[in-house]
Amino acid sequence: MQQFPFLTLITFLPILGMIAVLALPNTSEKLMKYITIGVSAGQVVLAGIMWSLFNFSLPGISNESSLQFVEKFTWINIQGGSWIGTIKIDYFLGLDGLSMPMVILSAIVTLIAGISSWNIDKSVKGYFALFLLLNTGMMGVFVALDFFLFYIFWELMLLPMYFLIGIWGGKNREYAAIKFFLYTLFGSVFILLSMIALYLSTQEMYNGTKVFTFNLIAMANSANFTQDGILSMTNPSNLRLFAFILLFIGFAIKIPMFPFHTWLPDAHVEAPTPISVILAGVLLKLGGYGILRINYAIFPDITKTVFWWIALFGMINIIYGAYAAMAQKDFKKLIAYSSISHMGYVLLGMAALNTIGISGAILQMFNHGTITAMLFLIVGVIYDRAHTRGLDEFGGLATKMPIYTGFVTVAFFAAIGLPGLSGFISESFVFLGAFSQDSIRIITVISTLGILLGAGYMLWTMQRIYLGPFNERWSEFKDLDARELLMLIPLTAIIFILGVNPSLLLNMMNTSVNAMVDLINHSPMK
Amino acid sequence: MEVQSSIGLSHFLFISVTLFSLGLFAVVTRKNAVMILMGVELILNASMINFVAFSRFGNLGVNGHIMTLFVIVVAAAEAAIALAIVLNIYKNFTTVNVDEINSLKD
Amino acid sequence: MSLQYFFDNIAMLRSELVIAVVFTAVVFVDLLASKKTALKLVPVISLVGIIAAAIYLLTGFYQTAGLDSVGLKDYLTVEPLTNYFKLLILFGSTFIVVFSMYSDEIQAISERHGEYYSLLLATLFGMLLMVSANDYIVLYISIELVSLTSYVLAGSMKTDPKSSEASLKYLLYGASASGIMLFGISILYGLVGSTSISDSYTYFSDITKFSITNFVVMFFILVGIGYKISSVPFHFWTPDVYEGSPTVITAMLSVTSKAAGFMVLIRFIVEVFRVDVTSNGFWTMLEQYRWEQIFTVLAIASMSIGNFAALRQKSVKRMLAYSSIAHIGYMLSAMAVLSDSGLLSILYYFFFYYLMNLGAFVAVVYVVNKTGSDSIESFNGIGYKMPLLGVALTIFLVSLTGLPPTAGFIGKFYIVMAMLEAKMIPLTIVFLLNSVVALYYYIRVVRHMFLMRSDDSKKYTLTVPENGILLLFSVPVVIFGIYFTPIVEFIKSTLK
Repeated sequence: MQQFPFLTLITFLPILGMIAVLALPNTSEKLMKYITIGVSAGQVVLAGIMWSLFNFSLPGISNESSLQFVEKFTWINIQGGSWIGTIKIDYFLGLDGLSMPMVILSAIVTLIAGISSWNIDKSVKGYFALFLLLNTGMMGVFVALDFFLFYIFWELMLLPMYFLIGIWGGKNREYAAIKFFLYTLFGSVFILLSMIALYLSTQEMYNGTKVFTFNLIAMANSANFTQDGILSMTNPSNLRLFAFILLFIGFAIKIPMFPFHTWLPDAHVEAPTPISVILAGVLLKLGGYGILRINYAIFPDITKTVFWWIALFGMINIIYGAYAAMAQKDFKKLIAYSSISHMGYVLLGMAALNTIGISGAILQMFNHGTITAMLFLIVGVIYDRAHTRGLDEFGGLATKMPIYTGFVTVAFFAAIGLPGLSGFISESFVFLGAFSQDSIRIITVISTLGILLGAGYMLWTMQRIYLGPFNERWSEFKDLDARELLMLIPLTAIIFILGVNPSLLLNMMNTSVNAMVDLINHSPMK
Repeated sequence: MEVQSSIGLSHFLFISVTLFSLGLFAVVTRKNAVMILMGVELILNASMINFVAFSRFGNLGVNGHIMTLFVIVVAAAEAAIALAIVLNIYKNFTTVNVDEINSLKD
Repeated sequence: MSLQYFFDNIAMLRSELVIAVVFTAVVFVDLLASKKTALKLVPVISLVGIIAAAIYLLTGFYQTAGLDSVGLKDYLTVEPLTNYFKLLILFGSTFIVVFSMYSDEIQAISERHGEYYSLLLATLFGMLLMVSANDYIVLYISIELVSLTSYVLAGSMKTDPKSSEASLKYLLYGASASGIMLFGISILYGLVGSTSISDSYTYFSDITKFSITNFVVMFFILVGIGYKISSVPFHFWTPDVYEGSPTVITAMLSVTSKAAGFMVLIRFIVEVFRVDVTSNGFWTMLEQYRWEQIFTVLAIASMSIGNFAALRQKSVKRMLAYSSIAHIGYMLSAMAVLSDSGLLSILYYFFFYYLMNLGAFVAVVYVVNKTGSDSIESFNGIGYKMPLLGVALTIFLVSLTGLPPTAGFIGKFYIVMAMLEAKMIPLTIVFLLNSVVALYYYIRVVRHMFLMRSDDSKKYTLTVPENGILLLFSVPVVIFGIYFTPIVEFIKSTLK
């Protein structure tokens, strides 16, 4: 049955937009902005349609027949009548409960970032062309299920991101851009290494013969590994642990996990607001998604051995990020470090290895995406007006900008994890899950300190910027305009809705997460 | 025949190795471009002696002789080109000392 | 042994014959025609001739019968593999001629155009012979033919001190290296009793004749080949010569002569040290000569030294010189695998390397034309002054780094795959980390083009054919990054 190619459309719509933007004359800047926003809106609509068609009872993960919206075509197939192993790469897209929330998140955050790009005025054409290319890369990573394709999308994001930070960023943008690029490439060469090693170890049936494959779903099934591949469990001298670590480093750089996190504060501080939103809202999630999709699903046996370390690094992230956030004088840097802290919860939740913990981790990724996107927009609002972000330079903004401060309060409380808002649900899931895993119980207990610290720096920031005596320097400040409201209201709505009714997302991922936990539990202990 | 028996392959090889070493020594130590090129000529001559000597004493046919003829021609061509280049260098730098010709650097 | 038989055999050297004829034609036209007509005619004749040679070569691409007449037996080999390299060299040379027509540096010496183009063709002839050479005599003569003409070409801007210095340095290193190689060959001739490359196998495989002398000979010959492909530690000439030569000649040295040199290396290893090929494509070698270790060391040294030295260059040409050393290192690491898939990955890599490197050089030629300098500062703001050039050069540099979706990534992908097939994990890691280092200096050029603004507000425009050439390289670099089946299938077919 040839169904409607939703995933191709949602992935390559931005490329069409990019071509349109490039074809327009330099003068029609407005139209370029409309195209970009239109494309993102189209993606949100598509994501919504897919959500409504999505079957919650199909697990995916390691079972190819239970994937949804599958599009699978042979892309590169070199048989060549030669004795050397053939190469076969598929154009293989599909969704399961793991990627569906991420696709929705990506579409929403990109739309918000697109609206937030409205007041870009430098080299507009280049900006929106690169923005759209970045959009394709992000969406592609979430829907690609062929490792080669996944990798191409993964790397496709680097160059646009480099330019977007490097050309449209702040004062120190060149340094931040190259740092981001080098760190990420450093990680992705490790992913490449493991990818090829995996390719040379897994085979699937094709036209009646066994051929090597990049199929991520086939790799998640240990029966598809060859007898003596470098990464086959049956090979007594296999390098599975080594490959796991390489992949984990590659993804951990994106998360970013301590000690690979130092690019993030620089990139965030220098990037323009919409790019910060994308960076925090989507790019960091790619790391978490990669770990779940590749490390967890393909190396369940190793996962079972090393989860304690993942939890430990999660704890370090939570505590370190929170302390570092407290020490910041720059509002945006504070949010950047709080991101590190919040992504620590994702690692901790994953390390729980049970349904509650992993669901919590995915939910936390989604919530962090929306909450932090909102926080960066909030920073953007005052930066646009004051052209400074010093935490000590403001005060009493609540009196001058009451509506704005209302949104700030929601976002801050959601970040702290106040009940009724989305952050609370995911954090409590993470802690519940992690606490029930005996060997990481102590780590979990220490990690709860992060909530306390989070409340500390968030409320302190609240007090320094929005409460207290009003700083007369900013007396000409105006409250939010319509465009800013348009960005903040949907995010606020999501935060409230998911705070009250998290099952909207949890139902979507539940079957898949259960399948993943099964996979891990039933894998042989090393 | 007496002369032939007393001068064997090893004598030729000894000369060729000496020439090669002298040539290499000149290439490595000399600063004057012309002297370096003379060192290269010595290396080529050493190889030519080898070819002829092996060919003669090993009864290896004419390949060695042919090679020698080719090398003579190549050496002549190389000398012509080299001197033209050195002349041009002298015009541009008024020196042929390779240490002083250093407009290209890291 | 009739004369007819001899002619039949020599007819197999398709491209060489055409190039010889074109070379003679260029010399005569330059001598006989008036200055003005010669100036117009010479480049056109060269271009048409090279294309004709390539087409003629393609018509007999898969002829495999060896040359076995009395005159040519064992001296030259013609097989699809050599034809592939010849095709690459002809392809590169076509564009070297085209670039020459658009390079102001070369146009400025129009009074010597006859010499310039005849020397280009002579170099080309030498490289084609080098690829086919299966005898040390032919090998040496062809290497010298390439070298002698390249010395002159490197100094073709003879009033420019930099160019003449490049020429002198090239001459001194080149003459010494080929002299040492010749001495090695002369000893080998004494040891083996033949000048045929294939005959050396019998000698080297005889375990009773294993001695230190063999290593000395091997090393001497490796000096000559290593100098040709500018692998560390025989690379010292490369940066100076690349920086001083006219940019077009730099392009030629970094692509076409590299391919010829690499084919010689492949021939030397395969003919002399390879015992057999196992069913899964791995080569059984004469273990006592330790080529795997030698190649690993050479590869790691070339990659690392090339990349780290490139980091601190101010001249873009010099940066590309060091980067070409690094690329040779990448290919040497595929050589270290000593397998058919390693060899194939080198063949793929060479094709992609041709596309991206020629493209990068033509972009540099344009920038040098406009700004008169190849320093990295002269690239400031180029991305805004000449957007197409900026985008194209970015594509080439990204491809040279090896990021998808570009052809350079596919090249690296195959090399990594070959190395992992042989489970050479440490070498693979060094290889991959080197790509990260390379990113820094390649992206530096991009940074100057797009992230920095130039002080002046001069407007530069490129003509339509100039832009066309850029597209001719940048579009395939992207397309082969996404869909590479046809080219890979074609290259695979050259290896039996």
